[in-house]
Amino acid sequence: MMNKEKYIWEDDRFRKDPYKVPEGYFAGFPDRMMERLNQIVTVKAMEKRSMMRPWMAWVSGIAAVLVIGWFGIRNYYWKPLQEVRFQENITLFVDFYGEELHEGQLAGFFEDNKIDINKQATTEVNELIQIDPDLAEEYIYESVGF
Amino acid sequence: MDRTHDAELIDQFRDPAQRDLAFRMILAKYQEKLYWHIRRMILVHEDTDDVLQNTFIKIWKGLPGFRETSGLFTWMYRIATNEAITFLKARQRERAMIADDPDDIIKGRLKSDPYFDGDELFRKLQIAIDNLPPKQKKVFQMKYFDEMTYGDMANILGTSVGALKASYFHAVRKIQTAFETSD
Repeated sequence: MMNKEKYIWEDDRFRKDPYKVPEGYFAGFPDRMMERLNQIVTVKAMEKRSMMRPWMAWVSGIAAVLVIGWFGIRNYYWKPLQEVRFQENITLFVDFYGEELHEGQLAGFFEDNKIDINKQATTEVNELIQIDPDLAEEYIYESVGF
Repeated sequence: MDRTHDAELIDQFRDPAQRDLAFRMILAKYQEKLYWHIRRMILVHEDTDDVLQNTFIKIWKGLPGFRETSGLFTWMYRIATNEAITFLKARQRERAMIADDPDDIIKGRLKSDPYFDGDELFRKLQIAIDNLPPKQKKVFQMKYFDEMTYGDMANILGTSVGALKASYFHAVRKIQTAFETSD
């Protein structure tokens, strides 16, 4: 019996599976598998969200404070300051040209041509006036287009 | 042709809009092959189902980075084999902790498994196979049941043909000894 068994296992019949699967197992497996994968993806996304939440809350809070602060400063300080500086520059031009230029003419010209006098000309004009008033005059004529 | 089709499936999987559909096609195409490979190593249906699901989760996660240096099936077969070996190692540790005779557990599980209809002799063979070290077990299963060539096995397992022949030889000797010593 023992010797017989020793060789029996090499018989071809052992190569046939004695295993079965529950009815419909393979037909239903893809649906079950996809459902499990979707759960994993959802849980992972939630974990990611929950991990980011404190970080995002801080960032959102800081961003909100900055935005509100920025608009606050812009509305209450920056705009009047800009206007004041613009006015100062016009005054500077008028002073430099004496009676030749009318303040309203310059302001209208700058606005119509969207010239940001604060950015474009002030520094250069101030420097040029100090160094060479004639060159400054030329520069202003070119810049303003008179 | 088959490999071309696999390459198309991989491309589709990498497109998020087609990912689910492509994976369903991969499941439909390979689930049975992988199931039977795992089942022969693990024996019990419920455990096989768990390992098969874990295998496909790893495939899902790994597919975006799959470099296609081997065929899709070879790659998936390797994942299934590793998952089954991990499971078997855990089961061996568990058995060693809870039973004086680990064979009793697998005997009991095969007897109570409604999806196993082998006779007593076959059960004896399965227990002998199950007692092999995981690597020998894997080589024996692939050679004996899947009737794979040593060349294919070497390709899948990343080992030399000589090492595989030696493993198979040792496995056969151990199974023979198990039959000789059993009553």
